[in-house]
Amino acid sequence: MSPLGIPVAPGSFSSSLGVLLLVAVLLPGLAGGSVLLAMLLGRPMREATAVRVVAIGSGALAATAIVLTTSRLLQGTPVVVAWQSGAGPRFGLELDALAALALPWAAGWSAAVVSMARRYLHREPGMSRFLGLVGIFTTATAIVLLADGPATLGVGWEVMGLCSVGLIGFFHQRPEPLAAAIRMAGLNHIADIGLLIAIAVSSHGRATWASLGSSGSDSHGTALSLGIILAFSIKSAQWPWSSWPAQAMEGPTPSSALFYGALSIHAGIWLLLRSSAGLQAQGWPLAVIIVLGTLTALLGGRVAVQRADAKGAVAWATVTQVGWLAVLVGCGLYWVPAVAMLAHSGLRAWEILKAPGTLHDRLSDREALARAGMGRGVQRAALERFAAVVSAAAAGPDQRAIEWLARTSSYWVQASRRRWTRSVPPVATGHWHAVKEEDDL
Amino acid sequence: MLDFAVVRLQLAPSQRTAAVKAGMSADKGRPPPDSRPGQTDATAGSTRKSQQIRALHSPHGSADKHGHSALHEELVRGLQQTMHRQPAQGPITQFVHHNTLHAYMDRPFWQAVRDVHQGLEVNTLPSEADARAAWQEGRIDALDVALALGLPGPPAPDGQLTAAALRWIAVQWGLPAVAQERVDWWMRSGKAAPQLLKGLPEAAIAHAPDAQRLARDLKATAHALLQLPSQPEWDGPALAVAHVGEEDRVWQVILAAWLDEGMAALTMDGKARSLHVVGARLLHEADLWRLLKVPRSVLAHWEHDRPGGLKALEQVLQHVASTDPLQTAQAALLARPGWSGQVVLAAGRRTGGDPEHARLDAAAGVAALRLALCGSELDPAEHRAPHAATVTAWRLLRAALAWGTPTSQVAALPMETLLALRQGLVDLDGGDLLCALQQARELHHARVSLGALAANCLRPMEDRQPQLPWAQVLACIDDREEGLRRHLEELDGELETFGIAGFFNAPIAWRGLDDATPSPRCPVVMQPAFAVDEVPVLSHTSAVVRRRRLRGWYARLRLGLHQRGRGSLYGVASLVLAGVFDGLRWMAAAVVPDLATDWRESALAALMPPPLTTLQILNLAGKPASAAEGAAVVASVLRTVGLTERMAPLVLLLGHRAESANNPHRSAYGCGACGGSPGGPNARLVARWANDPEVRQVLTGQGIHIPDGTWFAAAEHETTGDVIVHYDTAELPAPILPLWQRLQRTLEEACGRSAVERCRKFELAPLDPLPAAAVAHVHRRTVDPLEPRPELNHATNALCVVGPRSLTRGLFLDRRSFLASYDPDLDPDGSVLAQVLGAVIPVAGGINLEYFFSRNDPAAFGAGTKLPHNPVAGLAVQDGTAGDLRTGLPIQMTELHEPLRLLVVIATPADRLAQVLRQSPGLNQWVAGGWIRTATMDASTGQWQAAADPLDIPRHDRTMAPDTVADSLAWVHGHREFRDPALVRSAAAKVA
Repeated sequence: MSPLGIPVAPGSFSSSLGVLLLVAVLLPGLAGGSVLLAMLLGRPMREATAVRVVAIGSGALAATAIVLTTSRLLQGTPVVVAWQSGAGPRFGLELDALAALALPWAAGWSAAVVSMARRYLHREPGMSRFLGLVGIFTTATAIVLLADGPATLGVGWEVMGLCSVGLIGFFHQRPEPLAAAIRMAGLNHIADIGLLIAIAVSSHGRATWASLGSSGSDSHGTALSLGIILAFSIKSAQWPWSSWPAQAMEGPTPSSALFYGALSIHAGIWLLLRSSAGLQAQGWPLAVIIVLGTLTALLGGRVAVQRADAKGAVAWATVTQVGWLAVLVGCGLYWVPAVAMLAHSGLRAWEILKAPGTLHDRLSDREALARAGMGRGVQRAALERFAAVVSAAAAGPDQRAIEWLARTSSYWVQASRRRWTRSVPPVATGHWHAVKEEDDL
Repeated sequence: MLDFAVVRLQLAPSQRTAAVKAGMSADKGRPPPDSRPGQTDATAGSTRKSQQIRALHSPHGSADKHGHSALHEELVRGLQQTMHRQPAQGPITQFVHHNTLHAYMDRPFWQAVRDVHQGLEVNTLPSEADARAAWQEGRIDALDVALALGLPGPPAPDGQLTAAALRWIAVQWGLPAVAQERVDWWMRSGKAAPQLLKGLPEAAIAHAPDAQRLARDLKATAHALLQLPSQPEWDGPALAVAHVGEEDRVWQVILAAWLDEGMAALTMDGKARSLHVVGARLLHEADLWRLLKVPRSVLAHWEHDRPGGLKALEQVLQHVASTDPLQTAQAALLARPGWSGQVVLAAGRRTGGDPEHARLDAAAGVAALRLALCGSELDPAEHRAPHAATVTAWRLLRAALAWGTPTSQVAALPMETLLALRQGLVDLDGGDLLCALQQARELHHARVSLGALAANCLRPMEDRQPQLPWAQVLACIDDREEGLRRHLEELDGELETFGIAGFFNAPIAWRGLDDATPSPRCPVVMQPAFAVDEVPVLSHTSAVVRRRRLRGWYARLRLGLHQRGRGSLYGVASLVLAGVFDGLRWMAAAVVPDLATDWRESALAALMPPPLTTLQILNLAGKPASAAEGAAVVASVLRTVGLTERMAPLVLLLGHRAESANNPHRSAYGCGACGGSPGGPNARLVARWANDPEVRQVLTGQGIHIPDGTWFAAAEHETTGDVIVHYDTAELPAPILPLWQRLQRTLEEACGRSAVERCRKFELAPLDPLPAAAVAHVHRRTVDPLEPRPELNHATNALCVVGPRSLTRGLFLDRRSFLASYDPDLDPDGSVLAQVLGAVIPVAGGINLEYFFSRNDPAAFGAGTKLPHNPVAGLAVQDGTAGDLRTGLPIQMTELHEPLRLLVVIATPADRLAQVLRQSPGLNQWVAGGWIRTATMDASTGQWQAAADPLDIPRHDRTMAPDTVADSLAWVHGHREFRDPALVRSAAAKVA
C-alpha cells in the first residue's frame, strides 16, 4: 500500500502515451539546446527565430501536458515510461495525479516566460543564452515533476541547478552577479551531495517513490532521510540557507520570477512530497522538517517585512511561505501543501515580474488609503490589533524568541559563510514599527 | 548628476586653457592618457574603475603632521568637492532630466568632456566605431569633417606629412593604435600590408610598396623614433573600487532601511538620526561586529554618544590604513556613488536645519560607515607608459600610405617633424579625434536642419499661416508633440498650433480626485503658486465617497497581500486564492497583455464610474484665487506664444502625459515642464480661467481682448497610446459644439497618423500599419507590464526652434524638435524672449544632455539595462539586489538616440539675444559654453548667424536643400531609419 495513494505499476515499462510524454518533455530542452548550439557555433539565430523555436518547444510541452492530464483525469490510468538495464539505476517518468496537476502549470509558465522574452528582452545581446537556458530548464523541471524515483529526479535536479547558475550570472560584466552565481553553484553542489546519498541508499537508485519506505535497513533509512533533508533545505532555502534567494535576483526579471518565484524554489518541497513515504516510515525526519520550516518562516517573515527593496522582499516572503509549506508536509499532509505550493508559485512569480512597478504601486496604495481616511482611526486600530494578535500567534508568546532565532541564524551563517554563503541581512528586531501613513504624507 | 567622482582637482582653473577651439587639444605638455573615449565596454556595469578619483595632492602634506584640525578642514573641503560631483538625481518617482555633467558647466563643453574623460576614464563622447557607423549611414560626410577641422573643404593628399594632415587622415580613414604584439605578429606572418592598407583609398593601395619594403621601412621608422627624446610616463587616475562581498551587502541593507520611504512594511525608527549612528545600532543588534574593519569600540561610541558624521569619519580614518586620508574618504563616498548620493540628498531633504550642513554630515557619515565595514577601497593610480616606437611607426606608415608619402622617407624626416607627428598622434588619442568626429556629426545635422528651415522660410507666408483659423491648439514644446501638431495641420490647413512649456505658465500644486498628497506641476526650479484641488460636483459627492472607500479597501487588500502580510499568517492564509488568480493573470499578461488590463479597467470603470468634477483654486495665502491672479497667468500664456490677437473661436490647451505599466522610470516619460507629472491639470485650470468673464474683463484692461465667441477648451494627450482625454466637456457652450466636435475628430485622426509614424521606430511594430492597427499597437505598449520600451520618449531629440510656427509649419521634423512659439515682432524689449528661453533652454537642454551622456556611457552615466532593475526604498532602482543604485537613463530609452548637442534656432535679432544673455548669466553659460549650439534666425529671410561658437553653425552655402514630399506619412513610408527634414506639400496646398 502506498502512502502517497499512487498506484504502483511495476513492470509496465511504457504505455503508448508514455512515449508521447517523453518526447514532449524533451522538446523544450532540444529547442533550447539548438539555440545555444547555434550561438556557440558563431551563427546565433535571429531573435524572432530563437523565440519561436523555444516557444514552440515549451508550448508543445504545455499542450501535451494539458491533453495528458485531461486524459488521465478521464481514464484514471497513469502514463508511464521507464527504462532499466540489469542491476543499474531505474529511470522513469510517470504522470501521476500530483504531476498531472503540476506539469501544465510549470510548462505553461515556462512558455509564458519565453513569449514575454520577445518584448522584455528585445535587443538584449544575451537573448540566445537566456532562451537556451530557459528551454533546458523547462525540460529539467518536467523531469523533476514526472520522475518516478530519486534517480530520475536527480537528473532533472542537477540540470535545473546549472541553468539557475547560468541565469544568475547572466550579466557577467558586473562583479555582483558573478559572485552570486559562484555562491549558488557551491550551494547547489552541497544539495547534490544530499540527493546523491539518497539515491545511493535507495536500492542503488532502483527505488521508485512508492518503494522508498519499504526497502532497506534502518541505517539506510537514516541516510536517506538526512540526504533528502539536506537537499531539500538548500534547494528550498530553509534555515540556515535562507539568504540565497535574495542574492540570486541578479538575472533578468522574468528568469528570476520563473526560478525563484515559481519553480526552482519549490523543488525542495516537491522532493519532500515525493519521498514522504520514506520519510514517514522513519518518523523523526518529519519532526526535523517541522522545526526547520518553523525556524525559516519566523526568520524569513521578519526579514521580509524589513527589506526595503522590491525583489529582496519578495525573495524573503517566498522563503517564509516555503517554510510554512514544509511545516505542512512535516505534519503528514499531502494535497494541502501541494495545492498551496502551486498557488504560491503563481503569486510570487507575479510579484517578481511586477517588482519594477512596486514603487508606483506602493505610492498609489498609500495615497488611496489616506484618501479613504483609512490611514488612521478606529478601523486601522482594529486592524492593527488583529494583525498584532496574528503575528503574535505566528511568532510565539515571546518576542525575544525571534531575536534569539535571528541571532543564532546569524552565528550559523557566520560559520558557514567563510566557504559558501556570504551574507545575512542584519535582522534587527527591536526599533521597528509599522509604516504610518501620516509619516509619509 | 555625475555617477562618480572628483576630477582633476590638481588642475587649478587658471592652468586650464579655457575655451579652446573645439577639437584641438590645448594640453600639449601633458602626457597622453592611454585610453580613448569609447574604449570601455558600453555594456559593462559599474565595475572596477567605473568610479574614480583623480590624484589629489594636498598642498598641506599628510594629515598626521597637522593633527586633527587640519584633517578636519581638509575633509570638509574635499567632501564638498566630492558631493558636488555625486549624482544629483532625486527620487525616481519625480524624474527630472538635467545635464549629467552639471558640475562642469563652469567650463566650456569641449573642455568638460575632455576633462571628465581623462580624469574618470569614462566615455563622454561617442566612440570612434559609433561615429564611423554614422558615417556609413550617411550621417557624416567628408565635407562635415573638413568643416569640423576648420578647412574649407576636403584636402587632397600632397605627400607632406604634418600634424594637420595626420588629423585629417585619422578622421577620414582611421589611425588605430594597435597593440605592439599585433604589429609584430602581422609583420612576422606577412599580413602587414593588407592590415596597413585596410580601408585606405584605391589610389593608396595601388601605389603601396611590397611587404618586404614595408617591413624594412617600419623598422627604420621605429629606429628613427627611438632616437627622439623619450616621452614621459605618467600615472592614470586613482580609482575607487567597490568591494563586493558581505560587508558591502550589509552596508546596502542598512542604507536601504535608513532611506526607505514606504517600500518595506516595517520602517525603522530613529531615521531622524544620522546614518552612521543607526548603522552602528543595527550592526550591534544583528551581532555583525565580525565584519568590522575598525575596533568595536568605535561603533559602540557612535551608538551611544552619537557623534557627528565628520567626527565619526575622522575616528575611522585613524584605523583604516592609508597614505592619504582624504582620498580614502572620497573613495569610500564614491565606491557606490548611487547609494551614497541618495543618502546625502535624503539628509538634505529631511533636515529641519541647514540642508548644506546636513548633507555634509551625511556624506561624512556614509563614508565612515562604509570605511568601517569595507575598509579602504582606494585603488592607487596605475602607471602608464606611452605607445612603443613600433606602434607609432606603424601609424605613421599608414598615414604615409594614405597621404602618398613614400614610406621609405618617413624614417628620414627631420627630427622636428617626427616630434610634431608623434605629438600629433598623442593629441588625437587625447580626444582630438573624437571631438572632430563629433563636431562633424553635429555639423551635418546643422547643415541639414538649417537648410530645411531656411527653405521653409522662403515659401509664401500664406502657405504657412492660415488667415482665419477656426481653432488653435496650444501644445507643449515637447519634441513628441511635433508629430501631432504636424499631422493636425496637414489634416486641416485652417488649424493653427502653438508651442508653450507644458505647465502653461501656471505653477500649481495639484491634488487629483484620488490623491491624498498634492504634487507640484511646474518646472523644478519654480515653487507652486496655487493649490488646485479636483473636487466632485455636488451631485456626485456620495459617489466619490464610495469610490474612495473602494479604492482604500483595494489598497488595503494589496498591501496585506504584497507588503504587510508577508511576515504573518494573515498573508500566508490569503495567498492560495490570490496565487491561483495571479498565476493565471501572469500567463494572460505574457500572451495577451492588453486584454487582461483592459478587462480590469472596464470592470473598475463599471464599479466606479468617473464622477463629474470641478476645480477648487487657492493661492499662496490660502484664499480662493482672484480674477487678477488668473488673468496674470492667462496673459502670460497668450503673450508668450504671441496670441494676443487673431484668436480663433475655439482655443484648445493640450497638456500631455505618458502612461506605462510596471515601469520604474515612468515619471521620466512625463511632461518635463511639470516635473515629470501629467500636464493636463494645468491646461484645464488655465482654460477655466480664460473662460471666466471676470478674468476676461481684467485682461481687456491689460490690452488683451478675448472675443466673446471664443471658448478655451482643455485636453490631455497621452503620448504613449496616442489618446486624447478632454476635460469639462459638459460646460461647452452650444455654439461651440460643432467646432469642438470637428476638432475632436481631427485630433483623433491626427493621433492615428502619429501612431503610424511612431511605429516605424519600434522594431516589433509592423512597418506602415493602418492607423487602427498602429493605435492598437501603441495601446499595447501602455498597458503591457513586460514592455521595457513603452515609448521612445525624447530619444533622437536634436533641434529646438524658438520662433513663430510659420517658421516650421509644413516642415517634417521627425519628432526630433522642441518647438516653442515666440513672436519677435510683439517683443521689442526682449522680456518675453528672456522668459521663453529661461524655461526652454534648461528644460530642453537638460533633456538633450541627459540623453547624450546616458547613451555615450550607459554604465557610468546611464542606468544600464532595465532587465535586472530592482526598486529600492521608494527612491531609485538597483541592479539586482547587490549592485549600485542607478541614476540616469536606461539603455532601453537611449539606444536609438543620435548623440548630438541640441541645436537651438531662435527667431530674433542677434543683438536682442545678446542682451537677454547679458542679463542672465545662467543662460549665457549654456550658450557661450557651447552646451547647446545656438543660432539666431531672421524668420522673414531665413538668414542665420551663430550666437556663440561659429564652428557649430555652418555657413549658408554649406547647407543642403530639403526634399519636397506629398505628406509626412509618404515620406516615412517603408523607412525605419532617420528621415531628414522635408517640405510637406499637402500642408501648403490645404492652406491655399
